[in-house]
Amino acid sequence: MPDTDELTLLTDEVKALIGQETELEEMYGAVDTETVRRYIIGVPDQDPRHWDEDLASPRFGATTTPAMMVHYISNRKPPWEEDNMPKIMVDDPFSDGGGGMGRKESSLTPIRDVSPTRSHLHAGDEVELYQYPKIGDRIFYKSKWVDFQEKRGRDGRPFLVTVKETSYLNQDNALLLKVRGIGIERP
Amino acid sequence: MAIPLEKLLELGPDGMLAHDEEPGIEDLRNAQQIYFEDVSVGDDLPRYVHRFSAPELARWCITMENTHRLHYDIAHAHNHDNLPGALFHGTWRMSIVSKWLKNWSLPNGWFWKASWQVREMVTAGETTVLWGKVIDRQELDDYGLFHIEFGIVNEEGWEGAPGTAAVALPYRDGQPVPYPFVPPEL
Repeated sequence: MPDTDELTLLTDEVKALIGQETELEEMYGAVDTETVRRYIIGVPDQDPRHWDEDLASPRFGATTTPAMMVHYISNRKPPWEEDNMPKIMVDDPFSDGGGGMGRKESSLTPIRDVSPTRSHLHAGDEVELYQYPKIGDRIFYKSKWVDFQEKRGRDGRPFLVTVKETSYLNQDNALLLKVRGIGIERP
Repeated sequence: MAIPLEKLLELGPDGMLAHDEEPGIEDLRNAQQIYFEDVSVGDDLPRYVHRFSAPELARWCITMENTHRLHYDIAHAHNHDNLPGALFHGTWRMSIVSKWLKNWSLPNGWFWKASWQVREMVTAGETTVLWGKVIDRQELDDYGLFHIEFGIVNEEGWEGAPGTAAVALPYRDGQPVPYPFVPPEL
């Protein structure tokens, strides 16, 4: 590996990913009360509208969910996708998350496939909320690489700023949520 | 009237916690609507003051099936990533900000959008204040729109997540903000 002065993360292969978009993908399973319960407790966001139909329905037509929930659950790993975590951790015991629990099939090309980065930090977000999913809804989503920029930290090491936009829709093609996530990828 | 933010930060972590304004379950059930006419530029939003512990960070990892070790593996965070401790999640910040703005708009308003940067790291055990101030208001046909500046400041006074948001509130004599939300053309 070149030293940090020579190392470039913004390779032509990375630049070529700008504008890459997934097909519209369907989340594994449907929105269910157990998933909503987990997020109610995990945030926690114990707004009774999330479980009390009498309270929520007059305005929302059904119970609600924590606002960002679909962003976290939509690309959950389906049961048929091969588990690569053991191999990733054997190959790199310092991997930051063993590849995570997200869905790999039909996703955007990972930055790490085309640039020598191996550590991720969350740098910011832009979110727009239109409506909540309902219990039983099927969720569809599509993502796009919007931008990459290379910068250098105070220690002189390069890092990549990545921008990915994802839109979430229900089975009626109604837009629920749009999230633009800004990340930092480091070698 | 809420204590000014700079005074709150002078109280120290334990003193700050006593000023948490997050509503409880029954407060939310019986939420009293804030109307457009009730809010002026310069007004503060309720402040959520919390000290997030390592088990709560782990709970968020479990909730969202997040295996990223810098949120729970303190040795890795220190030795591999040169971090001061297990880090508070960016994804959790997103959920907490959304909850806070939704709660403020209940029952008939709508949290529309927000954006923020992660500027400072928050580690388990730090006391943080989620604060917000109205910086602009617009009278639209069907509802009023508020523009809000917000952040999450820690007990040392470091601003870790500067951001802006837009929240729609109904008029006192008007209808609830339309749901599903239809964004205005600004």
